Amino acid sequence: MVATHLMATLDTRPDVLPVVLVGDDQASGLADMLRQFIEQTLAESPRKQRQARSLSGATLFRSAEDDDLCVCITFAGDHIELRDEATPPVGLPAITADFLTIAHLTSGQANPFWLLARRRLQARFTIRQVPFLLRLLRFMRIERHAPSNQMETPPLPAGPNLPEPGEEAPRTR
Amino acid sequence: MSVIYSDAWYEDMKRLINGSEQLAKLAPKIRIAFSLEVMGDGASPYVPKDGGRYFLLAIENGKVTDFCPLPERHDGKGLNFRFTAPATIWEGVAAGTNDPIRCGLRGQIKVRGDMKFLMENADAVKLAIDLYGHQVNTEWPLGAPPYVHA
Repeated sequence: MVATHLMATLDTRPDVLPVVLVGDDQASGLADMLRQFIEQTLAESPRKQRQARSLSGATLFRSAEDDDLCVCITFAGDHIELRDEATPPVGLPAITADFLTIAHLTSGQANPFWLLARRRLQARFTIRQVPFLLRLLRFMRIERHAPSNQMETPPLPAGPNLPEPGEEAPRTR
Repeated sequence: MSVIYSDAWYEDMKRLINGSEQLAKLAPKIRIAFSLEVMGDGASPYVPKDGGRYFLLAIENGKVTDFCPLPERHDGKGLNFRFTAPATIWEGVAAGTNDPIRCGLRGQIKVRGDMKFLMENADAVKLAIDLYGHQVNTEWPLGAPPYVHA
């Protein structure tokens, strides 16, 4: 299916993997925030770029707060696509969690297996999808720039110019 | 009880957040500036249909240092996050009838900013918006949300 509305990252540096949000302004907030998160992650880390380029596959992110929200993230090697799915495709691995759980997962405050064991994170997958899911979770985890014993959040530089909604995401670090 | 968008309401909000010891512990120690944009949608009697209300919220060391209306849309300088939504959505959050997390996930509240920072400080964000939505006793002289024409 050809997307009718595409919004690609405005970061046009050739070394930056494009992130495409299908649906533009009609996309859900979950898809839009995931898009910003992935764009910012890629823009700041060559290592994350390499990880993303080596990923091949798709997974569904479902919101525990809202059963209607389901975003499919496809890692295609040369780009990443995010798409809201009203009818999620069958056979893809799926991760369901609430906002706080996703935040704790990506920020490394909680271990995914701990979250799975306590059913705060629900995942559906086949054995063959396990390697992809583990690599995806590693990619989504925020890199630590500060020493692990430094509890205080690194300061955001003053004066980022925030764009209009739909424009390039800001670089605040 | 204070009237929505009045000076007293801003002060009440500020006191409310600053009164939370838990937020003071959870919030990052740096200064974070948010712009909240309340866009007229024809349903809210408090915001002109084609206009908007713009606020600046700044938190430092877990305490609100600024929560005030802006004369116009913030130009983005010195801003860390921009939250934009129709008045009906914001006022529903203030009245405790809209879940702000769900509104954000659905895209009814547009969020722009450093998503990594948001993820790393999600507990503080969640606590702040829960305070906003559930504990301020707001007065609605022109009617409270949900609005009939929303």
